[in-house]
Amino acid sequence: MSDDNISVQDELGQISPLLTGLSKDTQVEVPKDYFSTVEDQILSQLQLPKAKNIIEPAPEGYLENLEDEIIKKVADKGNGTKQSHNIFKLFIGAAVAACLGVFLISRFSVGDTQVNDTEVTYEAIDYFDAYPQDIEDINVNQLIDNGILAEEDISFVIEEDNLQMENIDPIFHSDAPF
Amino acid sequence: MLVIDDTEILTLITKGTDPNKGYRLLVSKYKEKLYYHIRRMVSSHDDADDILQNTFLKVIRNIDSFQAQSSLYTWLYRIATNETLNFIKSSKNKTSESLDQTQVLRMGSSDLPTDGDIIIHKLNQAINLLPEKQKLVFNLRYYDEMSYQDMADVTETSVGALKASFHHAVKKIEEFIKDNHE
Repeated sequence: MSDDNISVQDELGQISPLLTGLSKDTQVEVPKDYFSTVEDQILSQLQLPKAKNIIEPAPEGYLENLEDEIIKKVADKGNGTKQSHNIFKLFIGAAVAACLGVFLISRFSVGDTQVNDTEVTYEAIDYFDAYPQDIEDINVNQLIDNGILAEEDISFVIEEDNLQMENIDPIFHSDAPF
Repeated sequence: MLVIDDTEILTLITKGTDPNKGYRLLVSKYKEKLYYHIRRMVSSHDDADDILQNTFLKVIRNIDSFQAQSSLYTWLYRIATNETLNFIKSSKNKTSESLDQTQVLRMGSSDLPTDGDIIIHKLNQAINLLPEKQKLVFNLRYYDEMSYQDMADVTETSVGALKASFHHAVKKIEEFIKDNHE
């Protein structure tokens, strides 16, 4: 569009002839010598990046050996990581094996117990079915014959009873009236 | 005065042949234009000086990121404009001396103001009454005589919008001067 390149004066002439004739002097006060000194002021602030060069040089041989040092550190770190990975894998394997072992042991041991329990239960039922329900009717000799009681057991009970009787206070167990 | 081409300045700086000379030439070439561009927006010399120095420091420190899609001239104006608008925004609540007040002081120091002085004083008053961005558009076009395309690069606004903005600004100023003319 040709209007884009129209001069300001021509444009103002079309829209405001009043402004066309005015002076463009901004009439602001600027300190004397400002423009001759501002350049140095600005450029003096640019000296800051140069200050970086004043930093003490690196120790002798540091930069020459730096890449070897870094590569070594990276390699060490890599090995360390590998080792820790292997240890971790080993640990996981051991944990899985332990869990499996515990599961299998518990599985088989539970099975045995159940079988034994069942057998015991059946045996117990057989025994008790063979004897009277009332304990008073149980014949001790029959129990001894069937191997449930031993003669020593009974003698021990008798001895214990005798022993207990000996410790009884005669006064309080006396039938004599007070 | 020898006018140095922007390309030559850029070569000195970016190609590393003589960056310090390049910086000096850059500042030397644009210091006055940018100073007045800033000063018309902020009125105080100290503020304008701060903004100008920040502008050049920013330009020089970021000159590697300058891409030749726009001209160095419009890039400098864009940075100066952004710095100025940021300053105005940050100091919105502060009371600052306006351009018309400066003008009044200056007129008071002379014997008698001429008709030309009075009209220019009215013009400055009218410009100061414009919204910031309209004032910016008016200044770029009226004082810096920038083309609309360059103004579009500086303000990142369309040419059509800039034309409309300038037209409105001129009409407002004209009206103000006529209404306040004794």
